Amino acid sequence: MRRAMTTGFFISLVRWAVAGLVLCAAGATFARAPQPADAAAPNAITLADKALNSPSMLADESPYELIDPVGPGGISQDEAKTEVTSSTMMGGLLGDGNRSFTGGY
Amino acid sequence: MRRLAIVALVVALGLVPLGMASADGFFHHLRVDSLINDGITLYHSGDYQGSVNNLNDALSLSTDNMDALYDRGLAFYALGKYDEAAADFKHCLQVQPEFVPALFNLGVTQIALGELDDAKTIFQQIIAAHPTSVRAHFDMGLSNYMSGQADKAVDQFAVASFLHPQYVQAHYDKALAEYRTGNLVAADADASAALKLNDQYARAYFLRGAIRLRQGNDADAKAAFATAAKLSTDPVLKSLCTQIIAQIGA
Repeated sequence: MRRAMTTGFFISLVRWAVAGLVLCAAGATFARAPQPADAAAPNAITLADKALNSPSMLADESPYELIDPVGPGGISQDEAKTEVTSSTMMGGLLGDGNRSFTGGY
Repeated sequence: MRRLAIVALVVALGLVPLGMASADGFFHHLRVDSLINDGITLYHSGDYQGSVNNLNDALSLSTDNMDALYDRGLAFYALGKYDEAAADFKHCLQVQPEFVPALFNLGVTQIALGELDDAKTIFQQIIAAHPTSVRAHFDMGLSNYMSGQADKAVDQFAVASFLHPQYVQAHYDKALAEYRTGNLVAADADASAALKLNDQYARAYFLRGAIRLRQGNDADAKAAFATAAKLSTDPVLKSLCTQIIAQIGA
C-alpha cells in the first residue's frame, strides 16, 4: 500500500517535471522566434502604408508630365508627336534643363 | 507704246492692294509667331501667367492657332487651372483631331482633374494606335493605380519598364503597385531595379523599408528608412522616416 502511494507520488512528480520542462522549452522557443513585423511594429507599418497609399508617393514624369510646347521657339508638331508615340522616354527636346528619365526623387 | 504703259500702270495699281494685303498678312503672321515665341520662353522660365498673357494676345489675332492653343493649355496646366487647360486641349483636337500630343496632354489633365475613367479612355486610345508608346503605358498605369486597380497598374508599368529599361520611375511605380497587391517579392525586385538605376532615390528606399518591415526584418527596415531620410529633400518624408524609425525601436 505504502509502496503504491510512493510510486503514485513519483509518477505525479515526473508528470509535473515534464510539464514544467515543456513549458520552459516552449517559452524559450517563443522568446527566440523572430516576431512577425505586424506584431513588432504595427505603428511603423501603419505609418509607412499610409504614406505609400498617398498619390504623392507615385513617381510621375515631372517635369515631363506634358509634352513640350510647340511652335516658334518650341519644338515642331512632328517632334511633339514623336514624344508621345516613342517607345523610349523623350522630353526636354529644347534642352532647357537637366532633365533625365533615369532620375527619380 | 503708250497704250502698253497705261496697261502696265493699271496692272501695277491693281497689284498694290494685293501687295499691301500680302505684307499685312506677313506682318500679322510675324506678330503672332513673335507672341507665341515669347509665350514659350516665359513658359520655360516659369512665368506661366506671362506665358498665358502672350498666348492670349496671339489668339486674339489668330483664334484657332493650334500652337497658341496648345501652348496656352500647357501654361494653364502649370498654373493648376486644369479646366482651362482641358478646354484648350479639346479645342486643339477640334481643330486638328489627329494631333496626338493634345490628346495625350488632355489625358494627363484628366488625371489632375480626377477624371480617371476619361483619362484611361484617352490612354487606351493612344495605346491602340501606338502600342509601343511608353508614355501612354506609363500614364495608363498611373490612372489604374490612382483608381485602385493596382494589378492593372503593374501590367502597364511592366510594359513601360520593358520598353524603356532605363526608365527608373516606371520601375519604382511598378514596385509600389506590386506592394499594394501584396506581392512583396516582386515589389522588392522592382525597388532594387529602381535603386540600381539611381542609388539616390529616396522614395525607393522608403518603399524598401516598408517591404522589409512587412518581411519582419526590422534592422534592414531601419537602415532603409534612415537612408531615405538622409537622401530626401522633402521635409515631410524626412519627418515620417524619423517617426517610423522611432516606432521600430532599438
